[in-house]
Amino acid sequence: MDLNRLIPERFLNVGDPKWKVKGDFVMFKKIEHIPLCFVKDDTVYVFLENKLPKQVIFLTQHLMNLGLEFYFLMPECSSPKGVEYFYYDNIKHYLLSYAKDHFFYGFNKINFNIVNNLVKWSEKEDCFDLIREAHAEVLKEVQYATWDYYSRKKYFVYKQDIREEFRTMYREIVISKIL
Amino acid sequence: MSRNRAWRRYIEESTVIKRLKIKCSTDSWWRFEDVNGIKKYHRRVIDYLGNKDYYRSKTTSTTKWDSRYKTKYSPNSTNGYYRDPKKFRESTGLREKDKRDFHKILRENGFK
Repeated sequence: MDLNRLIPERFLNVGDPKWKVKGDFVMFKKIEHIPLCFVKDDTVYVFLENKLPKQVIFLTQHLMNLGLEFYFLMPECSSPKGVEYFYYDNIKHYLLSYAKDHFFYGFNKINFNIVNNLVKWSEKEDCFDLIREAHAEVLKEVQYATWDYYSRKKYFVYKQDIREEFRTMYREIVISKIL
Repeated sequence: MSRNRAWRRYIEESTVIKRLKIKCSTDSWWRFEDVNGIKKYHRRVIDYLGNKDYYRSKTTSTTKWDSRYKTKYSPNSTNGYYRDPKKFRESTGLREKDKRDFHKILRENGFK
């Protein structure tokens, strides 16, 4: 597959120098060239890069329009060092990145279902059983709150929309697996 | 040389890199966690991307005289001036704090 095809058209037509194909990766330049995606066995793997949320959302929208099969990976996978607990860490990264504001509202804006994508990836790699444990760990972090004794109020780190979404997320995961 | 938006962006990026380079060498030796949750012992400028330190280093006005009071690009650049003066020092003249106040007013009136 020609990697230039994966660059969104709005940047390719203008000839934006920040988007570039280097070796096996499509990269974006922000201070340095940061890898965004690559192709393996006719499936596209996109790095869920929190450093470049806008570009990842543009790319997913473009891949949705092309109708290609694509999954997400944690950015640590781009290094040749590798990851020790790859499957568990990748599932955790899927969920933790979705809990961030930019991806939560960005993916909802383009009507992309990341839960469905996660389930498909886990079925492909035979690691669906790990999702429950990872979700429980992420849920603890998302629901984390501190009590302010001075104002007698509870303060949450994550927003209410995100907390409510994560509370019922495991149910969604199971339903999307059955369907 | 015209000082347009591209020039201002270039200057901003170079100042950000300069500030973060100093931060890389002076911060504590304890491991550093970037936005993706990757732990690193030897940090580089790129690891700060998306971090709060990255956005903080973007502001051109600081508490130093050189950026806060000095008039840089003008024939009258010898004399400095107190930027954005207000009664009883309500504003420090920094864009960060003024923006915070502006968002607070918007929130109070239900625009945000």
